[in-house]
Amino acid sequence: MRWISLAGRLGTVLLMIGLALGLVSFIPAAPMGGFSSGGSGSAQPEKYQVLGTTRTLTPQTGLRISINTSIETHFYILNVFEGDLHEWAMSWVRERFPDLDESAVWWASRNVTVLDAFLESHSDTVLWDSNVINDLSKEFFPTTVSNATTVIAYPSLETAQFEYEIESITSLAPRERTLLPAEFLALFGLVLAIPWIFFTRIRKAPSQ
Amino acid sequence: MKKAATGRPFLEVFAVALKENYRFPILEIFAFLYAFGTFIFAGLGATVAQSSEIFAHGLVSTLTGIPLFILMILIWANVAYGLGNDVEKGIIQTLLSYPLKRRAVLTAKLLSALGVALLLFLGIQLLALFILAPDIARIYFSTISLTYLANLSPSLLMAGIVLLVALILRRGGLALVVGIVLYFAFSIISSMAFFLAWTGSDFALKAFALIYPNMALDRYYAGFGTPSPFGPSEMWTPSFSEALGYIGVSYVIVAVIFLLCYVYFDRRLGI
Repeated sequence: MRWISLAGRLGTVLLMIGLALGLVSFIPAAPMGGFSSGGSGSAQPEKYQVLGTTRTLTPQTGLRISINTSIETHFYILNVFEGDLHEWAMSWVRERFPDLDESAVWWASRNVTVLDAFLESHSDTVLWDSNVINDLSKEFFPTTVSNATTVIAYPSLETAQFEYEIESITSLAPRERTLLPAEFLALFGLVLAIPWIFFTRIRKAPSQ
Repeated sequence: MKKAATGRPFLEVFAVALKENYRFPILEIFAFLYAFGTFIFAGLGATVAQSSEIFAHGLVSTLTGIPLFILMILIWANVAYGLGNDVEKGIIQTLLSYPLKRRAVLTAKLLSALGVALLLFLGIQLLALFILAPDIARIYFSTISLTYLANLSPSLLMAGIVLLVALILRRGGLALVVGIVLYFAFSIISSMAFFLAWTGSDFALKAFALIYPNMALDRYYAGFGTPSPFGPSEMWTPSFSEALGYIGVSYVIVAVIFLLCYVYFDRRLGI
């Protein structure tokens, strides 16, 4: 009986922690004033471009991203400064095509193939990769302090029309990280607590 | 054989203490408050960080804010009202009738009053850290552990003083008042020491850091990277080993207070 009591109390404690976490997960992320960018336009085929500027993100400050494009695109959040990315891309093109002049190097460094080469050699910088998308609406929070640069790539041969909005948001606890532990704790706690509730509360009741 | 003979009574006393301290649903309410408070008061002050290590320290400092006060309430209730009232009303005599040394009885009571409360507190805090910032929690676990050590030392010191007062005065209620007064006195002295350091005298800050070592650790991290816009740049900034030294000394002080409690309970209680 003591073991049932011990497990039951452990269960009720886990259940309460799960409920608290569940409650926290329903508190929505709030925008941080003054940190948003957005726009619309057309994008060149087989090119990539950086949207907005590099921002420092933490596990509690993230990005709310909303993108709408006419063709399929790739969206990345990279842990790299925008300047470093462009510098690497330019030097990569210069190494392979030494005859190109500076403006041609600049133009070629915006090719999707250069971005692919960067991602291949710096795979650890990819914080998030959307795969192929047309529409995207996402809240992103990194798991560590990061310098996030948002990049959109158009692998298609057609010119793309796009609209985007990126804003910095802050959250007590990102829902995608709290909801699963909350469910697990509540469920596990309930399983542990049921025998205790049955033996001490329900079965005891008639004799009282 | 002797170990088995003392082990069972010890567990009996421990079980009695657990039942007294954490009647249903006290533990559940505190678990909910810890978990909810931990997330609600978590780290929005630590969102602007120069590095992951500073963020880890800042996050732990904010995570511990209100939940640490909740922990103190639980400890005061267990130590002052639990143990203090046991001594005041003579209930402790029943526990002393077990075939156990007096210090073992006190250990069993403290294990329930402090140990379980701390276990719950740290368990929920670490869970919150691994949910909020899993990479930082994994990589900077030593920074996080050190910040917890520094933050918990004043709470343990206050718990020790409340216990000593409860044993000497044999009045649970009065010990509780002493605990509350101590808590607010610590906050006031902390602000005063910081203000004095602002005016150019570091002595108060250094002296207070002996019992409140997180102040030394905070100053160490404030000296990291670019100078903070809050406070003069020439304010005392200890080295890492100095900050460690302050944490060590604070735990020596805590150990001395608890040793006094044991000695008093063992030899001077007069029951």
